[in-house]
Amino acid sequence: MSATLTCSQPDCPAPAGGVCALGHANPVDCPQATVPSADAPEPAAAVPTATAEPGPPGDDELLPPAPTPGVLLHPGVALSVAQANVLASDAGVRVVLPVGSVGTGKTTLAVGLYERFLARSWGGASYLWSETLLDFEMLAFPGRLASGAGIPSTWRTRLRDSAGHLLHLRVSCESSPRLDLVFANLPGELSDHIRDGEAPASEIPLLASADRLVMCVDGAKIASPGHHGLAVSHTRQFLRTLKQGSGVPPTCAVSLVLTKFDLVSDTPGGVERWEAARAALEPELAGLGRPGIVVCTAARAKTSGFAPDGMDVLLQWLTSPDGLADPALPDPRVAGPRAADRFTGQTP
Amino acid sequence: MSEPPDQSTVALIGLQGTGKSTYVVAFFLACESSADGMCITNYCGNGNREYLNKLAQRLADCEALERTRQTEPGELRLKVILADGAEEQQLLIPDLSGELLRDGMATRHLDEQLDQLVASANGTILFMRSDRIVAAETLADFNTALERAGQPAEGATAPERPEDWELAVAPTQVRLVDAVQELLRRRGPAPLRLALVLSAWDTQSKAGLTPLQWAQGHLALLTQLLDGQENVQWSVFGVSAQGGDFCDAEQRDRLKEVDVSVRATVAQADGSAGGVGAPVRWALGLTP
Repeated sequence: MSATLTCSQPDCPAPAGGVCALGHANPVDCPQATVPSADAPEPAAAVPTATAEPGPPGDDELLPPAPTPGVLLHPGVALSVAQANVLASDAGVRVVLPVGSVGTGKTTLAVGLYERFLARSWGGASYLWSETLLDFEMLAFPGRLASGAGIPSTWRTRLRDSAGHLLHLRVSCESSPRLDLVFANLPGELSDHIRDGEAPASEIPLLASADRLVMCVDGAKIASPGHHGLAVSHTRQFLRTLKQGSGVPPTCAVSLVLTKFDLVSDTPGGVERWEAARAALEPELAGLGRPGIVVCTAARAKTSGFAPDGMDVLLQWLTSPDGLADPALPDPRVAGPRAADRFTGQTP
Repeated sequence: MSEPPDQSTVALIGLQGTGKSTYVVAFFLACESSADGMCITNYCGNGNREYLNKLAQRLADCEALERTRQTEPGELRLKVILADGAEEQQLLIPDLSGELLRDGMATRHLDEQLDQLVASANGTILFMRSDRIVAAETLADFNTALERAGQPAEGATAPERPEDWELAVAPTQVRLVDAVQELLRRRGPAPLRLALVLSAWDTQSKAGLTPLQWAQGHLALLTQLLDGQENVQWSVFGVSAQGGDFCDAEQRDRLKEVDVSVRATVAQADGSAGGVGAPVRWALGLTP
């Protein structure tokens, strides 16, 4: 396919079968590339041709799309590490790494942060751009009325199956006119493996690049009298393995985030169980990166109006340059763009 | 065909059925009748006005215009004066089908003609229908309403696999943000003046909002995106190119008593009245 590809990027070797000058593993993914229609790839599975919106009265007939040569657009789906490296080398990014067991609500946290911008600027930040807009939307869909569901949830299957695991959100905020947040959307099984004793660096190589580690504790389990002890135990084991593995950069700020706080709040004894869990887990954070915050969140409550939902506190922590306890050390984002080894840790 | 170097091109973009053709015809009629301080000084050759005159007849008859087919795009190509005291200029406004944008965004493969237009235009007008907005209605809001009505919030969660999701079900503002991001990507650092047109604006009169307030409320993600781009200047206009709802018998009868060239109304960002040419003048930088 690369033999027929053209590129508007000067001196890009991709049309001659070489490597994309902008670092895309597959040159056809590059927004500068153009592929004649006969060679164009099939549309991504999750973005099939749209159905027609209702047109004017008496105008229901639709003609099929004309087979004209065209220009490839950015896919809008989760980024691979290589793609995120291009972004990082361009402007620098802040890598946010939510960790926790399967079903804890890691993806919902990231999607919840995005989704609130649909209503307004919030948490001291405004939406600027997203390279993964379509995946944010796809992930948000199960929480929408249009999904036909009754209980809000979050999809993550496609991301698990695909090569890309990184969601991108660019915001402007008080501390920075442009801040690129890259959320790792990793399967909870990886966290479970670390909990069970696997080496953190091999299970989650992105640990070495993390600027903010979000240790998620499942509110549904904390709310449950029969499960909260195990939830604490699992989190403690994970944190200790992490500490022993020395995989968390010393510049990385680490926070303890309770998810599904609406369930904890609605369950008799839930808040007390959370306070006990917090007392047990907070000391475990010592010596792991830098101290962040402890916050209770309800990214996607079953009903609206649950307040405070903690999301504004979380966003402010993610966007603030001093999400680190020691302001003397430079914040990675403020320090400016890094070389192209942002995610791999390799020397360029 | 190479275009004259002094030609100004305005790109009209929007999904299908968002009022682009109706606006072009209303604009042509205003120029033709020397309304809103505009006038035509030269028709620029033969043949290109058949499309405009056909649509103008339908508009005069209070018949909604069919949306432009991909196979029969039209254009407005005139030498005009766009405001009192302004210089004559050659103006080109291609009227491409909204299906090109819809299909291009869905397949991530944009029609070359549309791509070239958005990349090279002197000004851009983005259309959306103010009365057909798909909002991001959440289950949480719905469940809250149910509980207030005394019904428990219950039911199944969405299926595990997202195969049913498609871009067409995304909220209107997300689809517009997606389109504008790709527009900006195609143009690179080149400055962009973008006029956002809220068509069928007459349907929003009861809300009492200015176009800017409406956009900030209903299209918050889009307004944040536009506010945050250093190379983008944007404004918003509420446009009723038909002058009212042709499906409403009472409004249709009233409109038939008004000359078609003066039916259209335009509200500027602050709600003040602007002429039919206001979005074009703004997109071309003729007004601040």
